[in-house]
Amino acid sequence: MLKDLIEYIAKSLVDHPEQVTVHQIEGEKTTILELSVAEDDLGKVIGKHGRTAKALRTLLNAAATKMHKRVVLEILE
Amino acid sequence: MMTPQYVETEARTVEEALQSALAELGVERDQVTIKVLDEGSKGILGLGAKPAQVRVTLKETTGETPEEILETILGYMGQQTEVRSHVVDGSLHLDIDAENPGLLIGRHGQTLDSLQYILNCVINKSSLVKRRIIIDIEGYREKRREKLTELACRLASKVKLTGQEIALDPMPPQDRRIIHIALQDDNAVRTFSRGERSFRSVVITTRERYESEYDNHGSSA
Repeated sequence: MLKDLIEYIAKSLVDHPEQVTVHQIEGEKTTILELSVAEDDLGKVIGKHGRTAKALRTLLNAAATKMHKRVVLEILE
Repeated sequence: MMTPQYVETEARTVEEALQSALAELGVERDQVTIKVLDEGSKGILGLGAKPAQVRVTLKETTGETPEEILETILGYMGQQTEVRSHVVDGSLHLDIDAENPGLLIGRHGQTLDSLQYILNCVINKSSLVKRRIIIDIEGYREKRREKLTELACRLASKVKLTGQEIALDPMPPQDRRIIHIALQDDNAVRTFSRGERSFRSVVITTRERYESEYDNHGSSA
């Protein structure tokens, strides 16, 4: 499941896994995933020039393609 | 609180020092590397006795192997896979056997590169010794290398014919490297990279043009 994918990777990347939450909002065609992490972990899930965030979105899109869905990842500040 | 990456402990014997280090880190023996700093000595009748010292370093904070982490991620992506691993020149190569390789490779290997990048981030998050992980699916990286080498040679002939420089599409560093290597022995052309970050691309030009237009700027890969 898409939510579990993001939650697992985010928890593996950060220093405070207990503060990782992913909220899934199911739309008609699009699923929105809201990821929030501890303030000092934000950099870990975004990465230099957004590289980690971009990689997360790429993996999400690949997984969503198989489920014939569109998915958007929002990283909450 | 972040977990410390290593601890140094002292005790009467090496084994006791190791046990107290493991207790302090809260991990098992197979999750750490152990370095004996001092064997210690009992001395004679308690005189000149030295404690044993060890340094115990965490291998990975997660306690999961790179293979397990990758399989878990792929599982969440809905892929039944098997991951085989081998070590080449100190880098860990992970080969994925997937039912749907195209989906995991993505456009120009985008998905494969994302998987590789994320896994490197997770594994090297807090280990002291950085370890490079390369992920491949059904020989994709080798096929990509052949394709790019072929492309490089074809474009180089065109550059020689027309005398005009050609800029390729932006590519990730490992792909640019393949182009540079493919043409490094061709003395009639020169290659260099231009642009920032994800827009960085290889330019192929003739040796004459390169020497008159770029050489003094000191461009590099």
